[in-house]
Amino acid sequence: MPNREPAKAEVLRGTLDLMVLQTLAALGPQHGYAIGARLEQVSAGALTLNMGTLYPGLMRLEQQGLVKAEWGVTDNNRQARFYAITAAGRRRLAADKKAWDQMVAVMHTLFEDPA
Amino acid sequence: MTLHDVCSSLREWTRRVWGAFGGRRTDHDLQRELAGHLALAEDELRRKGHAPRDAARLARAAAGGHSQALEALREQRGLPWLGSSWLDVRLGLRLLVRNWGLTLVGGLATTLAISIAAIVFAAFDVVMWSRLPLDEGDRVVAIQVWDREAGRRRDTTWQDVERWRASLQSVDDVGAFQTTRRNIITSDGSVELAAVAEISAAGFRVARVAPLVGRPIADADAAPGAAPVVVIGHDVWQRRFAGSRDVIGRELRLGADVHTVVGVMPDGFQFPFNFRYWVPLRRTADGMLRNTGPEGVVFGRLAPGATLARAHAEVLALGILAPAHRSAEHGTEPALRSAEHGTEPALRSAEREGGRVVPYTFAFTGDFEPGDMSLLWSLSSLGLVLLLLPPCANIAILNYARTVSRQKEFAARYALGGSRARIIWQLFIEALVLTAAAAGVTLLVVQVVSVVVAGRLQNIPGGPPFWMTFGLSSRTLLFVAGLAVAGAAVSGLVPALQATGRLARLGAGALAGRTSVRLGATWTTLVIAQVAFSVGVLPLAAELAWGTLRTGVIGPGFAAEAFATARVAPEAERLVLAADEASRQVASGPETARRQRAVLFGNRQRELARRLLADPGILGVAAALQPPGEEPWVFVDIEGRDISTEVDVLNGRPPGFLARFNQVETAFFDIYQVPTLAGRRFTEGDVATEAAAVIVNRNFAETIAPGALRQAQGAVSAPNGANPLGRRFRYVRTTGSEWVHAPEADRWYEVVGVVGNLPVTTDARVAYHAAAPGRIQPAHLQLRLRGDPAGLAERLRDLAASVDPTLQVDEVRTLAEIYREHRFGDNLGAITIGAVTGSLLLLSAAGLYALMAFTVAQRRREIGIRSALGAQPGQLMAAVFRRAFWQLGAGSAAGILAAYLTGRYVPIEQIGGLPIPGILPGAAAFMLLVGVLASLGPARRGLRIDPTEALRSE
Repeated sequence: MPNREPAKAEVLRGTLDLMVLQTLAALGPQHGYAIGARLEQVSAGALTLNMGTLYPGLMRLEQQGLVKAEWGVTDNNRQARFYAITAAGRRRLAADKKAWDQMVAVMHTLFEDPA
Repeated sequence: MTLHDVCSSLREWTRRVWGAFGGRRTDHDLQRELAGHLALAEDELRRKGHAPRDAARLARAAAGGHSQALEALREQRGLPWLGSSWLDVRLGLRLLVRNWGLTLVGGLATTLAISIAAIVFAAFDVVMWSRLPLDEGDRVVAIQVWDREAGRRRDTTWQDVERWRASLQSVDDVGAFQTTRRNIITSDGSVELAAVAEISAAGFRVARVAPLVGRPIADADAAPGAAPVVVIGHDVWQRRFAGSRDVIGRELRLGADVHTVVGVMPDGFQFPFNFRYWVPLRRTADGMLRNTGPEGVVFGRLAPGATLARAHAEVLALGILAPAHRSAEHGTEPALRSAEHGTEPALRSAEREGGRVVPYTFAFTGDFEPGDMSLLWSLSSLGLVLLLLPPCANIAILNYARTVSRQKEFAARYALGGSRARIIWQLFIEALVLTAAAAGVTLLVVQVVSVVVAGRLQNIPGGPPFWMTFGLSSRTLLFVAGLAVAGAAVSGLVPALQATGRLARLGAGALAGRTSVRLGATWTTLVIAQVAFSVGVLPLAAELAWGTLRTGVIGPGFAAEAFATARVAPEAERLVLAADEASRQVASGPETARRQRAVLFGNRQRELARRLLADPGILGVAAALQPPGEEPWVFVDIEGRDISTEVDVLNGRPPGFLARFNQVETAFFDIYQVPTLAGRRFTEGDVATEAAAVIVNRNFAETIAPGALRQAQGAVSAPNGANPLGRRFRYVRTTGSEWVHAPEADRWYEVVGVVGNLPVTTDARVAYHAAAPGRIQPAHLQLRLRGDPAGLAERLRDLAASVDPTLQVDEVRTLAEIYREHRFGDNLGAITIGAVTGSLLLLSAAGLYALMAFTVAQRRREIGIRSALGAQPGQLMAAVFRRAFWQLGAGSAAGILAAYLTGRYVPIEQIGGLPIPGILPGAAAFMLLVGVLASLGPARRGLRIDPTEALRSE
């Protein structure tokens, strides 16, 4: 089943990594379902990630050393793999946030410029 | 991209490579995580009030496809293409076993081609890229005098060596060495001829290796009047002195001199070439450092921070002294002036000659410019790669025929989502399995050949330089791997591209076996080219191989073990003078000194011959410049005859024919019992007066007077009056050539006798000059033996040392051994040509068979329809064979034409081959037969099939 694209938003390439890292930095160690649910909640339903998108992305972040994972038990006694951000992940998050803010500022200026 | 990003990417790809071979996360682990996600989603939906079954269904719908998610995880975990390539390798191996015919034939041909290329590469690797195994060995350099016009090195003056030593800023520790050969005489009288390095003290500083015991050669050891000293190698120390620590101060006799041992070098040390004895280098009387072979090299070490280019520029700017300004001859210091100051130059013209600095190991590769070797390698590597083309092209044809028969398989894969690129990759891997197997065998072959070559080189006097190690290097490994990939690209990729070109358009028809693949113009051309190649080139290769092998197969035709040859030479410029000889010694110039040395050496030679003839095992002795079969080559110009039609294969220059010459004593022809066919033998008068009388062999006489000699005894003239006796000829010296022992060029010589062809030189034209004992230095004694030649070398050395301890004897061989040495390289070449020829012929035949069979099989539908419409079997067969014969005929005609043109302009005899009667039509007939057989089988099967079946199966 393909991803449900947001109605009026287009997920930019590489933003999934940024979203996941921010979620983990803000909420602490989370399992994959919780990360997906958080992103859906924050986007008010505009962004729904299926397993085929979310988990390969988490695996990639783990391979890059930006997150680490270990098995744990959830509140309702389910086995799940919990992901936590690493120091390298925090550095990447800071750098990507800065780049994102700069891009947003540029776009904002472009859109607001009457000329 | 920051450093962190790079590190992250590297980490990711490293883990993915690891994941491709198993890694940490198994499929079970991945499935467990996905199942956990679904369970959590289901729990959430139940909390919201959904029924369990609905919750499960909605959870799955929201989460997406489980299989797709697992597949995506697998792709992210490893390298999917790597994993699937392993499956392709396994399939390729299965195909190799199933199609064992193709595997055997194709594998053999590919192995041969890659092996030849790899062996040549390994030889280049050893010669060109061997590093000096010393501390910072690549900073050790050689300084040479280079003649740009002639493209060769020149001898160096001592003054130049001293100027370089004193003036150069970019090269430190400038020194030199020369090779001499000395009799090492032990206390029990046994004699060993060894190469001794006469070397500057700087040599040990350049090498940066300290002696194990004692000290190295010092500068003071080379001073006039200094006591003779020697430094010995580790194995000499072990062998001659039992590894005793008190070896320092012991004596060792080298020729006529007794040297004191002052040092022992560590095991493995052989700088500057492959020496085990080192003595001080003293300035020679003529002030020259000889540059022949490894004898005479000026070396140094680049100063810290200096580069080769800078050193070269500095040496070039210093200039080279003209030979006339040698202080040894004129007794004055050379008037060194620079051309910059406008004074009369004492320097050689920099345009013609100049110094050059090259890497040390390069100095021993011959008279090459640094760029020449690279060019030679580039051309050779191109040729080697092209060597792969014939077998790989043949395999490509076979692969194409097989690939086309797998259309159903590929269509199914394409329909299921496989891409054309993936299928092509699979076919490439299948081909790579075969070429990789060939490469594996090649590595074994190269290793074996390296061991054999290393063993043979050790038997050559002196052996190879110490920095050359024979074996498989990493460069050779990479080269062989590259050839395997290139071969797979030709034999696998090309047919794959052709066969899968129409996959997208085939559709469902392909799944039912209906293909539209036909052998188009490309493949028809390939069939014709293959036949043309087989018919045109392979017989040529076979004739070349036969020409080389024939003599080896038939044998020399005489008792080669009954003859031996030994090289006798005085130690350089040294002879132990007898009392009566010393009183007559008057040194008054180099020419007189040379004549006197010749007389002295002649006395030694006569005495040695006398003692040899007293040995019951020796029936005759005579000296010659070279043994039969190893005489130097010359160009000969006959008086009054234009031989300009003969091709000068060396440099296309002056008219003349190629011949050999020798200088021999009068008893030479008696030793070999060679009959006199016309004229007379040499007399003492010819010897004493250096007359212009020359005796030629039968081949030579036939060249200058064709038809003059008859089988009948005493016939000396042909009906047309040609007579070799009295004919005059001269030797032609080509510009820039250096002749070590050449007879005088442009002097006319007269034929006074004709003898039969000597053994070993039955194909050569030889001219013989008379020489007195002592005139030939070094001389090769020709010995006629009685009985077993075992122990001959030791007896000869002992006898020679008893005559004069400075007389050196080496290269003691029977003619049978010389014969085998000559034949070794020829046989190896011939066997290689024969093996490659045979495998290519087999491969060509197999390729032709497969293509013809495929072509006919593709026409089953047509045969079925025509048969149903009433065509007679004969008509159907004729239609099948018509096309086949057209291709075979065109190929045969092209091949025969190519062979005819080649034979017309380059006769096979000129390149060492021998014609084999009927081989050309035989090759054409063989290929025709293969083509007919290939067409016959499928055509007959097509005729037997029920027409309705043929139509239905399509």
